[in-house]
Amino acid sequence: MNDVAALAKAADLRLPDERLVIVGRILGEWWPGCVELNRKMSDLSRRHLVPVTVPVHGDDHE
Amino acid sequence: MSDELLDMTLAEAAAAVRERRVSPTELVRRCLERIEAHDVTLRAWITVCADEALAQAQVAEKAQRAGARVGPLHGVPIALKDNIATRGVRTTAGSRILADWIPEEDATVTARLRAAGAIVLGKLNLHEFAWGGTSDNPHYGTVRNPWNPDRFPGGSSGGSGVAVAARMCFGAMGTDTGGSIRLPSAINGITGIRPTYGRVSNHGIVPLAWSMDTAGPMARTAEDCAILFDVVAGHDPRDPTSARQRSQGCGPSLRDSICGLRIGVIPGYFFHHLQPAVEAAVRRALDVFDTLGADVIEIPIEHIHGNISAQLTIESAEPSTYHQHWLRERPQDYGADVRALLEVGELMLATHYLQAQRYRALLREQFLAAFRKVDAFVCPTLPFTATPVGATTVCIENGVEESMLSAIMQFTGVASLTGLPAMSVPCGFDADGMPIGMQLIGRPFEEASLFRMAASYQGVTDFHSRVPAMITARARPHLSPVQASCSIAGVGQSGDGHEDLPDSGRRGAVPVRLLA
Repeated sequence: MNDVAALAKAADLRLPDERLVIVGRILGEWWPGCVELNRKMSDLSRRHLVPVTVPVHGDDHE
Repeated sequence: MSDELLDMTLAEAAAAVRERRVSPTELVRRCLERIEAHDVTLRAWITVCADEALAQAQVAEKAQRAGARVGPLHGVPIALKDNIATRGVRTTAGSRILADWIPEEDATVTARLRAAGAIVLGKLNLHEFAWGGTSDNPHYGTVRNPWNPDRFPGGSSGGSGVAVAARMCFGAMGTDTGGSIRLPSAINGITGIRPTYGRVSNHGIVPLAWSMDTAGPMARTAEDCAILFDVVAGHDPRDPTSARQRSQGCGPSLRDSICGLRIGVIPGYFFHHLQPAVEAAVRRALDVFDTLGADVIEIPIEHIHGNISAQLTIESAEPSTYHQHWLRERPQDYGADVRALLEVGELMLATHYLQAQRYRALLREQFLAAFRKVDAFVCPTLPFTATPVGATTVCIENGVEESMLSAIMQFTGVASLTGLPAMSVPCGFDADGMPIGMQLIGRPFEEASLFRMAASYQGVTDFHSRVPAMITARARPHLSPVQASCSIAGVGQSGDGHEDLPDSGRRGAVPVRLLA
């Protein structure tokens, strides 16, 4: 819970203890998937460094 | 007579009006009666615009009598998810925070539907701010499934799915970030399409995760969806994420054969971890496609695993950015689940978000490579059928309970991340009579191909034309107060009154396309 409290403080988000527990539980479920994705992406080439947030879009398919 | 009118598809209703076999006023009245009879239970509507819809119907009749050229939706009653702006009619996004927001202008999709002659009956209930998959809304009521009101309707466009399935309107617009059109389409036994990202304008739609948000039609049949799609698709200079790709119109190719079409199935993923009834229904659908002349091909996508994590990461971080101000100023005005998800999104690491965005590039690359060998993919829309109302977990196999949110996006997240068009089509029912949907995923900007596949399938099956039993039962007399209201004031109340969307304190929905 201390980790979550530190993150919330960094985000300037004032969360009482009971909310830290709720948020911490969800993050605890999601973070392993994020870490796994970190590992997957660490193996790949530089071309995936492109920060594409509009992945199938406009000019490249006209 | 009333059931016969409401049992028409949108295409049939439009033709009946065009040929003067039925009047728009009659259609509107029948829809209002249906809403009055069943919405006290189903809670699909937040605002019903009865007087305005009847007035529009009379104007439509006058125009027709005067010989005016009419649009493809002339006189047809439709409805909009309540995160889509409507001029002079409150647009709540299913939230308390926007409970009094009355937009000064229509969203682009609203304006295009009106220009095509559609009559807007009202605004549909949804999961608060579209951030969730159950449509269990603490502010406007829990939306319930017309096939069994004890079951959930999916979400976030739950009201749209229910209103169409219960024949309360002839078509509806939904929005889809992680599956919010496709899921309620499947769960309520209707047809719905998430178009290619950028194909349909988001201008005037309250954002969720703007790098994935896509609006699209939900209706009874593929043909109905194609008619609505042709009206709303196309470039909009007011939406910075709008694509310039021209839409050729999907109607003309709707009846073409799918003989020779190559359908891809991803081994080890599309039929893994799902309820047996769902698997059986989708495999039978593949057999139908085979009978229609399509070839079903197994084609692996190496990095398919990881998509749910990427989806959750992006879908939590982006909404929390848009909601940052409100989350600090009015946290008590959010429902418990959405508040928690917005707080979680604040704490996602930047590296997690960026790796998820990089993963999208990888996944998109692998799907585009696969599209050299196949024309479309087919899979279940979701791995289970409707759960009891209020459930936050689901049991898919081996008696193991798992989180609803990640389980429900098992198959829909792929198209959301890659921006590919994807459609849900009814393909069966489970032993309890709850609908099952299959998902068709196509090449970018090739929605016409998906409509053709779905129309071919619906030409030889009847899952899309079945009616929930409660709809044919005796009508109920009461209309709940919240649904009876209709806002008609013309003054906007959004922040400073100059923005097209309510602003949580900063300008929202900025596309982060850093490199072309």
